[in-house]
Amino acid sequence: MEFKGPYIRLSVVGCLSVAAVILLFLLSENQIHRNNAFTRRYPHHPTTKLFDIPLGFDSYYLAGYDEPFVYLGNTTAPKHIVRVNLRSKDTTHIRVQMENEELPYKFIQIKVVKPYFFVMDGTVPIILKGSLRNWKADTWMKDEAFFSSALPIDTQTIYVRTISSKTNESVLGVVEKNENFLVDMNPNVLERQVDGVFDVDGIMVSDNANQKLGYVYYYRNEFMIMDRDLKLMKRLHTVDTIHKARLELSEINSHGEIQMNKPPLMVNKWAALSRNLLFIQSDRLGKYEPKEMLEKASIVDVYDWENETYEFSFYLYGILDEKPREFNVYGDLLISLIGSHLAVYRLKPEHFED
Amino acid sequence: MIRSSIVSWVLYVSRILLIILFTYAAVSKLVDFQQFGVQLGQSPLLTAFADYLVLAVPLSEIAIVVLLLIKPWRLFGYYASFSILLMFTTYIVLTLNFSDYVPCSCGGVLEDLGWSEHIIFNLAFVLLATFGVLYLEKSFGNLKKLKDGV
Repeated sequence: MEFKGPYIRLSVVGCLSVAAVILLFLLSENQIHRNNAFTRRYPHHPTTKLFDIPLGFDSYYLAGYDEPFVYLGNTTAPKHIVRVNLRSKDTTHIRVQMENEELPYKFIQIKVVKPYFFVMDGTVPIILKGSLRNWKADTWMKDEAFFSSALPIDTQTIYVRTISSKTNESVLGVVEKNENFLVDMNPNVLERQVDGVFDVDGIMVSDNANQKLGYVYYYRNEFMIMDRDLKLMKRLHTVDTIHKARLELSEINSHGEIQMNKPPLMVNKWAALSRNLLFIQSDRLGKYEPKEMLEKASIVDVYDWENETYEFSFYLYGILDEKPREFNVYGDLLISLIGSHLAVYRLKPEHFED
Repeated sequence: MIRSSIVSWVLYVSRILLIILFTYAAVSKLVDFQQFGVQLGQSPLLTAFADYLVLAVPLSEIAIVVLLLIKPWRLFGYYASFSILLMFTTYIVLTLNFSDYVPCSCGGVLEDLGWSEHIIFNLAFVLLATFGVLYLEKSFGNLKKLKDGV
């Protein structure tokens, strides 16, 4: 008696079913990692919140980290620094002493690169440098070049963004001081889409330990990774689909200013660079993401720039109706400023190590 | 005679169980359609196809219920049950072994099942479907033999 047919049919159906799912899986992996299908992936709790510390004011910004201290600058009290010891959770208030105190400072930013700190104001323009031991800053660079943003990457080098005198467009550069000043601009990193100033605006990031620089555009789904001489290493896209900045700019008004007509569509809000990973905060929702989440948390997307892949996303939750304002990643710690709190998270190695 | 009545009783029960399973699965997905879309979109394996699967999965489940209910199509119903259950089992195995992370779980009563219990649960239903296929194939075969006069 022959009764083979059904078994063969069952085996064929079985194999085809298994193969179909495996095929879908492989195709899906490929799309998610390589293409810009704007769908995020949320693993479960890749970060653990360790603690938060109330600071009393919401005008602090991250000035630097030197284990176990986090240094915070303050935009409304520019010469005031708060040092938070992450081990004892003690805070120390420091007043910075500056040479050339009488200059017309408008926008002071302080950044710590141990064992020094830099006081920078690109509107003067001036950069002062001092030791963390006595918090006395002496003039390091003055009237050399105006800059709109600056980030020290080591004790002799500062990553800057400035306006090119040739093209009147934004350009990235590196200011280095050995015996003389060396101001090195690379006009090829930022790419003009509208006016070359507003549309290329973005976030400067650096990984000082590994001497890597990055730039993330605010208004388009693109970021660049450079070496410390500003040589372009990667130009990559985020999971977002906005590849052209959506800005409407006014004509030059009587004050010689150009303004934005409409609030622009912001693709990337904040970023941090650590080893092979770039963290980008975005308020743009992908497919299947609940809108309510944006009211209480910020979305952080993690990219592996070396492998040119999108890895995954996670939520950075707010505190008391306040959402994370800025953050940075130091080793396995993610430090964030949320309203008037400092929050510290641990990145779980199984998610963040390659 | 007793033996064959037990077999047909088992067959009947297996068919009812499969119908309940798929009806439940389809209805719970369609009732909370948006939630299902979110879950599929965040599932680590099929993210890119979530758009299609969000409809395809519950519709297939309903189609299987219809096949199992209508007598001449019953055999196809068992084959389809066998196939979709194997697909789901493959999905779970892939999730557990090759995914960066394991997602929450599926909805409804099955939420309480762990992933390995889920595999056992699935395989039990695969066996039920296999039993149905073999039994019906056999009786079709006998019928054919009767017709052919063998």
